[in-house]
Amino acid sequence: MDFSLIVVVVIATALAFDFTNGFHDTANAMATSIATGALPPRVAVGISAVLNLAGAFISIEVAKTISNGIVDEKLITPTVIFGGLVGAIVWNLATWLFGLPSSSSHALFGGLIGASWVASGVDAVHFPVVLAKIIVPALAAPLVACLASTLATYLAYKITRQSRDTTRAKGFRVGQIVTASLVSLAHGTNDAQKTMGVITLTLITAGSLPTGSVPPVWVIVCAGTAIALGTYLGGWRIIRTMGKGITDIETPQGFAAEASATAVILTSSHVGFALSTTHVVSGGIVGAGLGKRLAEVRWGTAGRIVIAWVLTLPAAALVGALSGRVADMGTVGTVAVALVGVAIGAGVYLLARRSPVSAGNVNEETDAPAAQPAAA
Amino acid sequence: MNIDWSALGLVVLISVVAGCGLVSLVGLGIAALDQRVTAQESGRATTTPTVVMGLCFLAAAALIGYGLYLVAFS
Repeated sequence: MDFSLIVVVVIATALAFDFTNGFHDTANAMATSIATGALPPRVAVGISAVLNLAGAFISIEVAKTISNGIVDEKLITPTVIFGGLVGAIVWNLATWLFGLPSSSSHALFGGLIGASWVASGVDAVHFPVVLAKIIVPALAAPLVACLASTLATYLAYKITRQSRDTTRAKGFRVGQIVTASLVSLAHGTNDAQKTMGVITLTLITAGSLPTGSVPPVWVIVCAGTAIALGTYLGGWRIIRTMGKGITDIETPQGFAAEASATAVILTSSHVGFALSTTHVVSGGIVGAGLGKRLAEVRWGTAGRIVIAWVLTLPAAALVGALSGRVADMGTVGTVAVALVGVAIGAGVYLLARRSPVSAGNVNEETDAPAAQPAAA
Repeated sequence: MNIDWSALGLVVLISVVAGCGLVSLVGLGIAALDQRVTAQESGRATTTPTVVMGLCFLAAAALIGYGLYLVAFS
């Protein structure tokens, strides 16, 4: 296979996105298990990484479109994909720095919207589809999960109210490990697929693969490894926000939140109404706080998370538009965007090191965003 | 604009039923487990709580198994 520079750059960027996707979303599956002590932090991210990798291999359904019809697929060039991916990565890094769970899929769609808009004009973006496939699910996901989780948490405490605390904690802990694993597996099948789809379609556009090809094995291995590696390195900042920041979670709540989130994710993807795992799990955790005692949710943190959700699409679109525009100026532009992207990544990494969050301090209480200097 | 309200409604209904169902089954299983321990301690028969516990956990496992099936084959 003969690859042009842009194709190589797109593949590398797609894998980089997959990596940020992994460490951004570890929290979805594992934050509550880590917060309740059901699993030691490193074991939790290890299990999640293995299941993400496994998920990349078991799913039969391959992502056949890059954007699900949100932008005109005929007008998508490798440069547009590149711009979109850069927008998504930059937003993922920024939200990670502040420890905010935001949807990686929304970031990717936002980036693609921005890049398509500058490349082919506003007509390339299908706004009704954006409303139906992004805005409505984004509103619905946390509400549905919150409703299910509130009821489930109430039931969990009600049913076991006469049981000893030790039996109850032990029992729900096992349940939590199982449901958290299921979320990880579902995440691997969905999100690793997305990157595989992006790489495969790029190769098809570039003529390196015949139309209608399934992802070559090396693409599956690379995408699965990238997301697993990201998952294993663990987005501790986001895990802390979700596990400790929104509400104080006990094992019955953790299990209720994970069980509800699993139910919502599996049901919605089964009826073709794909909801963001991040939105679902965040809603589930809020519900777990509501179901036990109404006052327990820290609405300040929940509010910051919602603001990040609202900003995700436009912010990623802006960065995607800029990088797509510059990358369109040829090899020099592409290289420039890639270098700036790497520089931003390095900058965020250095900023994050000022207040590191790791497996060691992930369960420390915090009511400030993770970017605030952590107590020694 | 094409919003699939019936799909959304279905998601709400099934999610709430499945999520609460799973949590209730595990909760009932845990309550039975606790009663079994109590019965053991006071020297009473443990048959009923053991059977209830087994049924609840089995049903919960089946529900999770179905979820696993959905992940792998849908």
